[in-house]
Amino acid sequence: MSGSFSVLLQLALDGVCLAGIYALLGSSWAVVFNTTRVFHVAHGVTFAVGAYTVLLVVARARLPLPVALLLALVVGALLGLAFHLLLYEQLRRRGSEGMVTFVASLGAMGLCSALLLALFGANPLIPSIGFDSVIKIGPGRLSAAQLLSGAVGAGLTLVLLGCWRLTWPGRAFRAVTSNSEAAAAVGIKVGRYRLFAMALGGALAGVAGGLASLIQGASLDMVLNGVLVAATAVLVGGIGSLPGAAVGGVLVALAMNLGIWRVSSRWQYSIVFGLLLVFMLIRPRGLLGERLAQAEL
Amino acid sequence: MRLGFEKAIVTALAGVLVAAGCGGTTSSSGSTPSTVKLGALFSLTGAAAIAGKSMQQGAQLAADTWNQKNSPKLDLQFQDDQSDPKAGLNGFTQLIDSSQVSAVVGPSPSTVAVALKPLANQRKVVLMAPFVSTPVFATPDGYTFRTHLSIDQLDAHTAQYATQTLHLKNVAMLLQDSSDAQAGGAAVKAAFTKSGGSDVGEEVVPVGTTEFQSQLTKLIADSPDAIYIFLVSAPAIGNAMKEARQLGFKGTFLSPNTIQSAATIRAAGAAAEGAVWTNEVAPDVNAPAYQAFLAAYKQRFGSDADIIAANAYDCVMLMGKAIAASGTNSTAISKWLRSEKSYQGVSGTISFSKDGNVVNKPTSLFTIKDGKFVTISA
Repeated sequence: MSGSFSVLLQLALDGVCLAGIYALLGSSWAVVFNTTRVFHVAHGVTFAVGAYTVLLVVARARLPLPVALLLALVVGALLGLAFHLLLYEQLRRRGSEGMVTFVASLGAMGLCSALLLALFGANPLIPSIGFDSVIKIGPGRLSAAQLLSGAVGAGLTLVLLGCWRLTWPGRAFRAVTSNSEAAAAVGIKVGRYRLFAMALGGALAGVAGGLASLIQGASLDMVLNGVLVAATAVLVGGIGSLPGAAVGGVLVALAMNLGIWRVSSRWQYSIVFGLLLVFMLIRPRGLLGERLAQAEL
Repeated sequence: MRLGFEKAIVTALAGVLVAAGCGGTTSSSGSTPSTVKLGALFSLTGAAAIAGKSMQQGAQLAADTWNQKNSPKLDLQFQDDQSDPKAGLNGFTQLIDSSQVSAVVGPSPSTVAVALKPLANQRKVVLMAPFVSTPVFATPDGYTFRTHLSIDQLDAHTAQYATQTLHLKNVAMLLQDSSDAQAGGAAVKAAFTKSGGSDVGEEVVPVGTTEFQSQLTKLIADSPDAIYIFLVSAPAIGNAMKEARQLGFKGTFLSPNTIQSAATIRAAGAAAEGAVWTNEVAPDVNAPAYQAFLAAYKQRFGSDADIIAANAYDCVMLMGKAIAASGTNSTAISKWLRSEKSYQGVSGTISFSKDGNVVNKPTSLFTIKDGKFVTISA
């Protein structure tokens, strides 16, 4: 029966695999937002481009998946850099902030979506790329694509979190995140770290898109859906906290799957909006946002 | 006498004018211009772009073929509906207001057609859709026409085969959020209920969704014998079938004719085997007119014509005939179309009901065997 526990288990398994991808996506947006404080909605474009890149490389150029993911990483980084240098840095030099930057980002997202539409058409790209074998886990089943994308996503997220915590550049990023003026005062080149953040965030979003494409193909819908998930993950997990963004991503993935256990799946994306709304009303700092008050250098 | 001579000149001139007026074999109205603009609104981009391409090519071939021997000449004005209602409305108004077309052939997907219907009737512009299947498009004594059977006619036939011949009892449905999906779902549900089975579950997804893991998990848990997948995007149908098989579904897939594209097989692989649907077919594959159409299409575009292209071809030829017979006045055109009872098109004999729906076009059941589309003789 569709309300039974085996269904719940399957939905949980699907949610856990998706959580790997969404944790990475959320973290990628957090890297950008926490460091630059730009509400980079055009981040969804990088997510979608990563998906198209991987599928084209695997299905058309017939190169192995690791190569494809690496290319998605590079393309994502370049795209992030382009947004930074051609848009946000230009706006910053003119003294624009906040709303102006947000609107500019929306415009960039619209323009890029139109370019993607012209390049690929609005029909989704779902070529056959393998990874179809099925692994049974109790009464549940997962495809190789799900397991692979979830595992790689989770692994990369953990590596990112580790570097963020333990390496010097990670500490510098955290310094810029919590107080960019103080960071500059101790000699951290804040402008350069903003650039690194856009490149790194873009790279990770590109890979996240590539991983997602293994399950859902590549389509223009990914632009908006990608940034919706990413922003919700960060706002729910806590602005200023990278582990928070990862946890937020996991929550979004689980909510989308478990949330429709006994509810019609037409509400699947509404659940994401609902989660966001609930947190904005009850705990606007997000789950781990409190740590910001006690941030250490 | 002078008067007599002048009278003769005038009579002769009058005779020449009348002769010139009746000279064209098809033109009966002296005021029809020699070239008439005909709007062609298709999905050049968008979710239905694959079908839109077939329509564009079919229409182009028809216009060129018509213009070789007939008048008035048809000047196709293309606009892109982008498979999106807003863009479709934009394109439609541009055709009427900027290009000043006399009538429009199109659009591609049902969602756009539903959006255009009120405007077509309000502005009194004949709109003939080659391949729109939502029942909502019909207008009694109105300006909307279609040359393709509606989805409830086609998928009711599929469901009947599923219940009567395959003896399937229960069906589950994965539907996109659109009027034709709802109509198809209702028709399939009715057929299964009528034969003593039931509809065990329904999941609705936004148009454009490409991944259905959670929806299919719920549907398959109720052990349906068949899953009816109504999506307009062929690769999405393919992905849905693949995911369903991965989740352990061993039953039969039923779908609308949007499945019939190579992109489905690419996305689904072996999971697509055995899927069943109903589609229009050409009435007699050996008919010389049909063979000529296929050959001309292949020569012009290098690919094989499908039933969508054939329908678009018929739309344009039919519009040419209508305009030649009744001029550029929309009310006259729509009246003429409804009176045309047996137009021999390449997609079948076309005759319109009062609502502008086509009646009685030949259909066949199809399935996928070894990665190829084959007909089922049932």
